[in-house]
Amino acid sequence: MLIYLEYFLTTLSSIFIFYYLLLCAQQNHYHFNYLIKYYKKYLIRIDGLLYLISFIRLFKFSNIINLFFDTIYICILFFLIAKKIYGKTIIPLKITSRIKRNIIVNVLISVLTMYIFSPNIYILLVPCISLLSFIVLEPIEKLVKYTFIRKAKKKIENIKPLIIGITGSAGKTSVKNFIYTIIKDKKITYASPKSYNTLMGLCRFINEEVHIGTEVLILEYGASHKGDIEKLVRFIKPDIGIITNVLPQHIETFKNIETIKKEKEKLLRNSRVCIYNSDILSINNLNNLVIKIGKKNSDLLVSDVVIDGSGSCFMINGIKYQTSLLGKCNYENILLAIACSLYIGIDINEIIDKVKNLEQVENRLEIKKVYNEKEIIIINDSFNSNIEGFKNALEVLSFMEGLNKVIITPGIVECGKLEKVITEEVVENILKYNMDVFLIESTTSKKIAKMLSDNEKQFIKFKVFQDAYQKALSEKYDVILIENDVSDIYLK
Amino acid sequence: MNVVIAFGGKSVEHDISIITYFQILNSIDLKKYHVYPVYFSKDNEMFYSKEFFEMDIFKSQNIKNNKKVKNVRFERINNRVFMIIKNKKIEVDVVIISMHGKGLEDGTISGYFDVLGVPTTLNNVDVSSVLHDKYYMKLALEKIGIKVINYKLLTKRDYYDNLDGDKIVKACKLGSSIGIKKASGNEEIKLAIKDCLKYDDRVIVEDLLTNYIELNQALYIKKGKVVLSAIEEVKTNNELYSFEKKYQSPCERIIPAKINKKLEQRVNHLSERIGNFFLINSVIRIDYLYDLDSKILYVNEVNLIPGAFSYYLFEEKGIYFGELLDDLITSAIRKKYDDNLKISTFPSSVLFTKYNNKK
Repeated sequence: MLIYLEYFLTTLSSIFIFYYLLLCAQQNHYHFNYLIKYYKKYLIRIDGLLYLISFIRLFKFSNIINLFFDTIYICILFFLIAKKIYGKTIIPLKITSRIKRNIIVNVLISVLTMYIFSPNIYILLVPCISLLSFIVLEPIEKLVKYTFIRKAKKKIENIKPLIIGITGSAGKTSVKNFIYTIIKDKKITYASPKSYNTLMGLCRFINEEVHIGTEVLILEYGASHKGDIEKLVRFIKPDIGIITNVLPQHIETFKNIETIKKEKEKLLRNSRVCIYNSDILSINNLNNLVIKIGKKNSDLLVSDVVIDGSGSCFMINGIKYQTSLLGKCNYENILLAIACSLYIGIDINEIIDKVKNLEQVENRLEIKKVYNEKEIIIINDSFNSNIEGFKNALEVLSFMEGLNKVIITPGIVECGKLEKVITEEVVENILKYNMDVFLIESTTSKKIAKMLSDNEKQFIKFKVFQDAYQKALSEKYDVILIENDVSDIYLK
Repeated sequence: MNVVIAFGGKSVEHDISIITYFQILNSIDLKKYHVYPVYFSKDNEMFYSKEFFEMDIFKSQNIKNNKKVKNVRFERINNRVFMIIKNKKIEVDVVIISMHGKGLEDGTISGYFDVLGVPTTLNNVDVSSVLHDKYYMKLALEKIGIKVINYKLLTKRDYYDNLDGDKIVKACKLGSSIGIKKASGNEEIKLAIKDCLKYDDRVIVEDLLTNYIELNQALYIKKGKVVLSAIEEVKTNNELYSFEKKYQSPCERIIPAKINKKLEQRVNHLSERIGNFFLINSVIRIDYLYDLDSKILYVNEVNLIPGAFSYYLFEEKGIYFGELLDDLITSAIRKKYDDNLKISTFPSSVLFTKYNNKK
């Protein structure tokens, strides 16, 4: 009887481990090198305790003690997974066909090992089994991937659309949406949806959503690891390459900003026409047609720029454009969108009209008005995750004078070695623009709290966003700025 | 590009649509398009077969029982439309409709493919049904000041008597020459009405013109602009053509019509007006009657899916059938894209609030 219970508990705990490992793998896009790294980091270092318990279990004390350890084992695993899902990331495991294949192989190997060895030894081998299943399945995945990519490639070759590729650290989605809004009425246009910026994502988008007859295709070329852009470019060569900016994002995988820039430049070098903002970037040795937009040394000369609380207003080659979108970031993104639309050959009057009526991308400097006895302006910038966006949002806020302002933020997380510098910059900016601070607990919030109190700045700490938000509403602030990676966001 | 050509169908003009289909097949660029013929039987069952590329199979009586003929259905999966032949899925990019007559041309088939959400070479449902119905067409045209022949509407519930003079009795919803009777005198007209009521619940009784010429003009839309065909004159010898006569011993057609410049301009102008007013987006043919006595140009009939897509009229203007089909396919794709841009769904909380409150 007890032996069956032990088998049951072992199986249960192995299911927990498999779930945890698959989740890690999925969130690392199944990159093999990172997978091993991840396994080392989380299984040897953090889950060392688990191994200790497993090791103790090897000695056959008595069934009762074994069961006791089993229970602890499962509790710890459960806690780990719960932390993984609800602590750092909100995304649970997506059951894709790849994951299904993996589970099948896992189960097969597990049954085999459990048959050969005892459950006590089996539980120690679970991580190895999980890794083994990835190795076993690798050729099959390669094949599946290859056919999938070929299908998408063939489709593109058949349709022959004009392809616009956009890369950069921030503002990819905004530029994409702006271009789409400007040209969609004139050309049959499809733009890749928000999160589809990896190779497989783009393939999926092309295979499933691009219809025959497409004239323009707007794709986001994301780069979170070295070599990503090259892979994407080899898959689909863009006709027009646009680079928004280069910021220290994904610094954990890129090590320094120069490599990021080099990586992103690859898109421009591989496209027929390049568009970039010459005020932000300078890229040398481009052999193809270059359209620079900016205030100096540019093909499309920008002048008379006014950015204020009601939007921005500027001239390009003597033609006036205006928009109600706030902030410098938006202005920069719109410039790129205009340059691209002009190259495609959209009528200038139509561009002016469309730019005037552009709408903000959701959760990116999005303005909402709430009536709670009086009007409260809520600026939602929760999808932002870099310092430039942070500064930009604060700058927007500074245009609104004479109002009670509050910022709700957990700081900027996942910056690797630059964390200290960026956190300092965050604090510096918060101090520069005078406003109240509601700090949400995160990995960097302690540092921010310390720096704030060093500068004798008042702030209130919160555990979750929702509390801070409710407090801000009830305190009768006029403007509430929600900044950075608040994933449990819930606005009505 | 996968192009489905749908033809046949439950209609009196079933056979004509097969002829139109073969005309399309002969002209369409088979290198550019993968053509999948889908045959709608006389009770609208859908079939696919490679045999449909040859005429022979349609001469046999029971196409259904042929082993090479397979049932087909259309299905929308994941934002795309597929033609499903047994277990094989084929993505459909465009559907060319080669079907004529009531129950298909009158917006019904447009509706079917609209729900599926696949681009078709058809006009909108509303435009199709208004222009196909002889009564509503007259109402709509009168409203925008286009002349139609004097008429009277009779339904099967109306009492009709005391009808005099030379009249043409037409069933409201039948195309071609079926359900159309010429009659003079009360008794004969009454008999004709009775006969026509077999085809439709409503008939219109029109005055018969005595001294007139019949002119036809087709038009289609290319990049948002109306493209007019040449005008043809149909010599009818003032005789009303029966169905058999119309198709088997074709009447004399003069292309381009020998008419003066002024009349030609009037016809062109009117066609363009109709094309723009009804936001036509496919090929249509407008049949005019020109009264030589009173010099009035009447619109007699509008064909939403004209026989052979009236390609012979466009050829006169240097637009060949292949090119016409290319343009129709492009504008069909464009139209679907434009439709999709329009706001058609709306996030609502009705389901969440109303029912919770009741609890």
